[in-house]
Amino acid sequence: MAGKNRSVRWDKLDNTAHLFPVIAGDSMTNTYRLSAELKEIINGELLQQALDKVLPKFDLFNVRMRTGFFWYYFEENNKKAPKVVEENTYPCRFIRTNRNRSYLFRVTYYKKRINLEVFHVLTDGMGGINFLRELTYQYIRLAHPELELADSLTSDTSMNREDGFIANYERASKKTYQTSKAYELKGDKLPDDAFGVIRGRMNIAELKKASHSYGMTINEYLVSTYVYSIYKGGLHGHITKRPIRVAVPVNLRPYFDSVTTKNFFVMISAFFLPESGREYTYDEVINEVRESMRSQMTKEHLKDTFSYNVAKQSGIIARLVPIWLKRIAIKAVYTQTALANTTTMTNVGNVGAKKEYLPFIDSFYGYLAMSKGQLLKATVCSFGDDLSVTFSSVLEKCSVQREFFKALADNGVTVTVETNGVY
Amino acid sequence: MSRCEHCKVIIHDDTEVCPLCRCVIEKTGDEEDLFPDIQQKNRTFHLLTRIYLFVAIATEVLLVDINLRTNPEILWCVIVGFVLAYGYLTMAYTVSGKDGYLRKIVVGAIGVMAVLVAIDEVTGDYRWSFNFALPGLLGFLDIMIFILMFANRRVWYSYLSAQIFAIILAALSLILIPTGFITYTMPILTMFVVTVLCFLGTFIIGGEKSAGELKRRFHF
Repeated sequence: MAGKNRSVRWDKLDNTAHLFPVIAGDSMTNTYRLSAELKEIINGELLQQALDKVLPKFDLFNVRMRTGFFWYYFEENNKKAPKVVEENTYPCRFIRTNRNRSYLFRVTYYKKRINLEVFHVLTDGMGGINFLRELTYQYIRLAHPELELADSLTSDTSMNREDGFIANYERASKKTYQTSKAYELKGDKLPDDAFGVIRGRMNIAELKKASHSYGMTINEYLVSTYVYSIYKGGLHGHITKRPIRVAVPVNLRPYFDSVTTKNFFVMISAFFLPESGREYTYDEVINEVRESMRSQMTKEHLKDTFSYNVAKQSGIIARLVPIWLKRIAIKAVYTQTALANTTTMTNVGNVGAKKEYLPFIDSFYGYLAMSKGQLLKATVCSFGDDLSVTFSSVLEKCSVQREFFKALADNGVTVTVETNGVY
Repeated sequence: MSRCEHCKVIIHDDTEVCPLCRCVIEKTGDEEDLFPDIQQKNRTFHLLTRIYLFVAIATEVLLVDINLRTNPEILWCVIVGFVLAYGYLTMAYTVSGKDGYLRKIVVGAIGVMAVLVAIDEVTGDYRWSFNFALPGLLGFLDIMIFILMFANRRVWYSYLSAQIFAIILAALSLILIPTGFITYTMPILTMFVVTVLCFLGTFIIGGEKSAGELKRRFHF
């Protein structure tokens, strides 16, 4: 760090991030977890040392969030790194910055697993994976000095902090996202504020074979199977006036040639409306969902989706409104749009690792916290030839998860299930 | 690992029932726990707060009754009510609340002011609470800001906005002069000037860091 007299580094929030501090709280934490599972038991002290070494290199994570008169903003945080502790709460709890040395993320561990929990205001899954992977590498280097690996960040890691939304938006775009209410999964909640995690692990080759047999990509196949499992496990094959809509975050970096580590995604909606009196077959549901996804996965549509939001935010009137008024407006808009989706299925993608570190890493996976009207969410993440679909939920029943894994098994995919013990 | 024949999946948990369908599965070996057994955090303090709330309400009801029966000319039960409410505020917000120190100090000071105004009103409405206690609390706020600034001196500039907030509070207090709540103006006017000077002093001495802080706070 530079001397005491240099000016304080600060940064604006990206377009998506403005939402999170407004809506976040104990019941809707907007915190996601990414985990690295190693093949050996984690040493907490070494993990703290690894974090102490890595954090100063990541400006994106080395910040605190502050409230301005018009906008929230990030300011460099020169406090010691947050304390690494053994996991002792349910995942994705709200991060109280005044009890976390002002940081917007936390690192915990349990047995062979390193957990990084990130307040979404900082970055999306790609930015989180960037950090977790370097933290894991650093830990392995400290735990295995005999390897004599170069003690520096790797070339796979981006430090780019461009606001991809601002850099790529077009003025005068129309609203493209849905605001009409979707079917909502309801039911008794788990006791004692518990948070349920069910992870299904499967082989990518088997999954590829199954998805290709339906003429789909793996992502399309998983999302459409998820919609089917909601139809079967949530609606029990009945008709509904409200559609099943699954929000699918799309990573915009490949579309706009960006390597930013800030949030850079938009949501599309996988859609199915069982309005006819008869029961739909698996094939019918997934084909309809696939078409709804493909119609939205174009660069133009994606651009229109975020351009509308950026244009709204960039208007001089919106900029000059004090933050307390903005909070009211953002909350109102969020409430309307949040109920437009039944659930969310996000795909972090395939997490690669340098070959020197591969012998020590078993897998990467992650999951999301709940949000308004969405009491069940799914996260897809793969490492090597192993893919994890992890459901996080506060609902007692897990009929949707059951239907999902059963449908995969029916298509010849071997699924190994593990939970966090609350079911 | 075990296999659930109903769900057609392999179960990796150390369990005798399938977590998906709740059917019994045959264990083929011991599995290690992948997640910790989460114990509910001790909620004793929250229980104490709720007990306090109940006892305070019951006490106040009893005291109102006694007050009205014995000496209805002086409503001392109002003072006790405010003190009990302040006690609850202290337990529920100041001690166990999740906000930062400064916000707790401000909320605590507002609570104290409410108690003092109640005492003043009940004991004869001499306006000492507005004439002297209010400026005193503003001075207390100025001092607390400087103490926090010193305690967190690495980011001292963060408290400039708190000083602006203190100026706004002091300016709002001035409204109490034309409305007749404040009858002796010297203390509140002095505190207003002192609060403005505290901010100006910090801003001028702070130099570029102060200017940078305000630029960030007011960026649009």
